[in-house]
Amino acid sequence: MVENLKKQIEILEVDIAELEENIRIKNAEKSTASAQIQARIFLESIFAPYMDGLCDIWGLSPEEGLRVLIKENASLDKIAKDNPKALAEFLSQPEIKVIAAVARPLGSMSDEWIEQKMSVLLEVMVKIRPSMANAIIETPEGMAWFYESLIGLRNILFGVLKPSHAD
Amino acid sequence: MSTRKKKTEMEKVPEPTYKGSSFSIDPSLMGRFRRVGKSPLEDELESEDSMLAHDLKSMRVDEIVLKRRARIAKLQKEIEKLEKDSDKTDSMDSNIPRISVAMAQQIANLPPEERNKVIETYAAFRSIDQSKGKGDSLLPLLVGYSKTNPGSTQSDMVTYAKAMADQFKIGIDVMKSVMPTPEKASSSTEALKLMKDLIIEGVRNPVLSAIEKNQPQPSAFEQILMNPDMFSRAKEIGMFGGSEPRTGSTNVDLEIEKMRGERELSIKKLDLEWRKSMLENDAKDKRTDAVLTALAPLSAVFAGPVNQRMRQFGQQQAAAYTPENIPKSGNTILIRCSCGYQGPMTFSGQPPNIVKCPNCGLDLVVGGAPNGGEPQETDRDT
Repeated sequence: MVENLKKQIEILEVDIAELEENIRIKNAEKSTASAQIQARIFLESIFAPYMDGLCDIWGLSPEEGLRVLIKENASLDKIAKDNPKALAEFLSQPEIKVIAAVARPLGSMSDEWIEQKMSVLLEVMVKIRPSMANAIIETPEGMAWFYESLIGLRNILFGVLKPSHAD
Repeated sequence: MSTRKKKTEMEKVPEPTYKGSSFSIDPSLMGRFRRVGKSPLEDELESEDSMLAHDLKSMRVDEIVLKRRARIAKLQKEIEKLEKDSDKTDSMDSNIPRISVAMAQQIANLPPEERNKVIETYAAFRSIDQSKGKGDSLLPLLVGYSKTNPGSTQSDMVTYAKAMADQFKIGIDVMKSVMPTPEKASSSTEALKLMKDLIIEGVRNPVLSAIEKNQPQPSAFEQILMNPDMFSRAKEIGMFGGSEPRTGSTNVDLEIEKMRGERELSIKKLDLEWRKSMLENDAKDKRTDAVLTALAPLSAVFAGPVNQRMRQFGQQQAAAYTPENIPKSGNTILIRCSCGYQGPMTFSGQPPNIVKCPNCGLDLVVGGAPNGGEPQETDRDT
C-alpha cells in the first residue's frame, strides 16, 4: 500500500517537473522575443545615435569609432565622466527625464542581468547593424568593452553611483 | 483296531410250512422271515405300544430341559452372588492405588529423581486428602508436569497438585450443580452430556489453566508474533523489514528508517528551494520585462527627440574626448539640415553629390544652395 503510493507520487512529481520545464521553456521563448524587441529599441534609440554622434565629430564611421574606443578601452561612461557638463545637460532634457523615470527599475538590475541581456543585444545588433556588431565581436576585448559600456550607461542614466568597472 | 468276526456258517433256514392261507417268503430275498397278514388285535396292541413309547420319549426330553433350566438359574444366582462379593471386596480395598500398566511404565521411564518426586508427591497428596479416587486422577498430571518441567522442586510439584485438586473439586461442584439428583440422568444421552461437561469443567479446563500457569510467559517479541494485529502493525512500521531481506536488529532497522526519512525530507526541501528560486527569477524577469515593455510605446513617442538627444550627446562627448589614434582616411563634411540637424559626415573617398540627412532623411546637395538643407564641406582630406 505504502510502496504503491510512493510510486504514484514519484510519477506525479516527474509529470509536474516535465510540465514546469515546458512552461519555463515557453516563458523563456516569450522572454527572448520580448527581450529582442527591447534590445532593438535600445540599439536604435540610444546606442546607435550616440555612436553616430561620436563618430560624426571624429569623422569616422561607427564601426571605426567602435574599434578606436575598444582599442583605447574608453567605455561610454568613462567618456561621459570626462565631460560632466555635457552629461548634466543631457540628463536635464525632458525626454531623457521621462525615459529615465519610467525605466528606473532597470537601475537596480545586476551586472549579471546586464551580461545576460548583452547577448540578446548582440543578437539583435547582428540583424539590424551587422557592421557594428562585427566590430564589437571581432575586435579583441570588444565584448568586455561592450559590457563595461552598458554598465556605465546604466550608471549614467539612472544615477547609480557604483564604482566604475572601467576605472 | 477293529475286530472282525470270522464268517460263521450260515444259519439253517427252516423250511416253510403251510399254515392255512399264510406263507413264508424266502429269507434270502427279505433278509428274514416276515409274517404277512397279522391279526387286527396284534395291530392294535402294537399301535398302543408305539404311542406309549413316543409319550415316554417326550416326557424324558421335558425332564432334561427342566433340569438344565434349573441348573442355569442356579448358576446365575451363583454369579450374582460372586459379583456382589466382588463389589464388596472392591469397596473394602479402595485405599489401594489403582495404577494402570501404561501409567506404571511412564513412571518407570522417568529419571530417578523425577520418579521419586512424583511418587512422594503422589503419596503425600493421598495421605493429606482421603477423597476417593482424587489422587489416582492426579497421577498422570504429576507425570506430565515432571516431563514438561524437569528439575522443578518438590514444593512446586505439590503446589501444582494442589491446584489440580482444587480445580477437580470445582469440577465436581459444577457437576453437582448441573446434576442435582441422580434420577435426572436416567437417560443415557443426558448422562453422556453430563459426563462431557464434567470432563471439560473438571479436568480439561483445570489442566489447561495449570499448564498455562506453569508455562513461561512469552516475551514482547513473541506476543507480537502471536498477535496478528500487532504483527501487521509492526510490519508496517518496518520492524521486520520490507520485501527485501535485511539483517540487523529492530533498533538498527528503525534508525535506518529514520535516517532514510530525514534524507527524503532534505531532498524534498532542496527541491522546494530550487523551485522557489526559479519562481523568484521568473518573477524578476517578468517585472523587468514589464518595465521594458512599457518603454516600447514611450520609445515610439519619443523616438525622434530621444534619437536626436542621444546623437547630440554623442557629439558633445566626441568634442570633449579625442581619441589618441583616429584613422586619417576619407573626407569629412559638415551637414546642416532644415530639420535642425547639424553635424559632420565622413566618407572614405570623395563625398557624393547628394547625401541624406541622418536625422530626417532629407536629400541634401553637397556644396549646394541651402534650400532647406545644405551640406558644407568642412574638413575634406583631414
